Amino acid sequence: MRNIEKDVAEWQNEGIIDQQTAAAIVAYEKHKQIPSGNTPLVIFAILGSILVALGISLMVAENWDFMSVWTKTAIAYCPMLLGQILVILAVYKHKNSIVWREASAAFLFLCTGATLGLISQTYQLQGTITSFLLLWMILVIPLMFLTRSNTAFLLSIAISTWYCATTYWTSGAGEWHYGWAFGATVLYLVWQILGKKDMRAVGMAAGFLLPISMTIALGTMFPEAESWAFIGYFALFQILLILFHKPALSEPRGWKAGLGVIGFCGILFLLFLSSFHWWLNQIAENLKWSDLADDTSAIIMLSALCILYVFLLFYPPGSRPKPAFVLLPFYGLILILSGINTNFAQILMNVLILLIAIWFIADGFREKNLLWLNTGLMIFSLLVILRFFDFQLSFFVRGISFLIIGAGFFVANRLLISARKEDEK
Amino acid sequence: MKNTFLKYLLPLFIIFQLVIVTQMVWQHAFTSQKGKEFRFRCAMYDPVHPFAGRYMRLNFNDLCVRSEQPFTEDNDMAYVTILKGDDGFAEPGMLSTRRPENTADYLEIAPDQQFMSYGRRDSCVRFRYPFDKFYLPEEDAPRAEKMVNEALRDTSVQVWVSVSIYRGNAVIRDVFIGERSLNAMLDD
Repeated sequence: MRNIEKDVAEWQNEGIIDQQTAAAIVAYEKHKQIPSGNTPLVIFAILGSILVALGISLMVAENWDFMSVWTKTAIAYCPMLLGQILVILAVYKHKNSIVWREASAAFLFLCTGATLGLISQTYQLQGTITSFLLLWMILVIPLMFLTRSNTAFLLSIAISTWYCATTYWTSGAGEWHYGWAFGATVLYLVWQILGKKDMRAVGMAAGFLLPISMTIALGTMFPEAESWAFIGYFALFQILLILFHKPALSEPRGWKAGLGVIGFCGILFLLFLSSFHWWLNQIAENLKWSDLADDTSAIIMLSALCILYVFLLFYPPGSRPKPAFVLLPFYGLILILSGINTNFAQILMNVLILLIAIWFIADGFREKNLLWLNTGLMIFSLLVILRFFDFQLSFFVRGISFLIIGAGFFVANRLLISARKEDEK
Repeated sequence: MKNTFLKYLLPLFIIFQLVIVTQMVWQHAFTSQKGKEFRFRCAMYDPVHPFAGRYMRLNFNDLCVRSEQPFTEDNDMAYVTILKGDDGFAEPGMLSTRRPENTADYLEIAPDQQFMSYGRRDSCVRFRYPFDKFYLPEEDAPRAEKMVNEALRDTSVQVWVSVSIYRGNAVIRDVFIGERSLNAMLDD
């Protein structure tokens, strides 16, 4: 709040805005913000609820023997009942209190797991950790909608990701239950953003957590066709990058940063990984159409990702996609080509990375954007460095390469800064 | 979604949570009361469930049973009838993809508990029982594992678990070493 007041005072002094406008801006920002004294209270209340609930879970896992079955059953209901009472109070009595809302939802979320655990041990109920997590998910995911709790929202992302990873580790394949759970969290986020709720704090976290969850889950959907998962991942990262650049759902500011970071880093990681000969060799041996034909979930995921990718690329109608968004067809073709000629595929992949670096550098000069220019130079540098591990080059050649790249950094930045200064004049 | 609509949904959601948890308790109590008791020979070891605490993992001998219908890898739920052998211990009868109609003494076997036994001429299908955990107090679990391991080394003593079975559901009653309950031995 202090920043906006400082900025507004500066604009008023420079004569950019008048006093009336300045007052209106400050009043609007004050109205949007939670009173700053409440924020630590909310955070500590949430942490307190989580710790109390986890403490109850751990005490439950002790497996007390001296009580009768009915006593243990009655005690088993207590954590969940207490959580429900707190949620009812939060929704009906303390409707405007964020502290009540967030803390009660977090408490009920975790205590439901504690109750399920205690019932399981009291009655010797069988089942795996995945069935336990699935039941827990079904019982708690609606909570974020009913209480509009961002803590319940973040916990829902965590539990659905945990469920997906556990099913993969126990059975070798993901489960479709992750799909509806993940869909529910995305629905909540879109609902809150469209409803113009204050999502600044949690929006940034969600922008990172949701892509991370998708990244973990996607690999579990290719149990029989693992090599095809790389094309799926590339499609996912391209989709994230396109969503980051789309103007829709841009408020609150900065929440989509996670989409951009993970999308961009993911694409670069896959490109650089695929630039190695040994890796392309492995892909060439394992990328079989027959594996894909046998794996229904892989076909569905790959098709869904490609359809979504094409839709986002050309929507709204008439939009021209940026070059960074059309890498997927080339990447997919090169991987498939590796099965025919790995050496040629490696050359193509390295040329693709080089072209990306050149595009960033050229665009950086054209837009006079230092960040883009340096990103291009970094990509180029990394490409050269990684090739040191592939090809046997002498120290002299490596030294000269580093000198040229380092000098290139200095020269390119100097030229751009000079060009920007000339424009300002 | 308007606030008032959500406020009406909240009581329904709370009832839903209570109903699901109560249903778990009810199913156990019903099966325990109505079910027939069977004895299953087993071995055990002691892992940990992150929420329900320590338990003994029950291992049964390699279970292989003939099937009425041909089995493929993509199965739905299967049902195995349970019979009492001449020695008083339970044995699997026939595996079927249809729920048996002439007996209540059968178990539901989920797809992840079934697998084909390749290379055998009599189309034997291997499976796992749907019960494989016996929860114990935390401090007793290591002692229990030690007692069971000592008992397993003595061929004259049987380690077995008592299970009530009724219409596909199974409830573990207790674990026995010989004729003594494990819980009773731990209390001594």
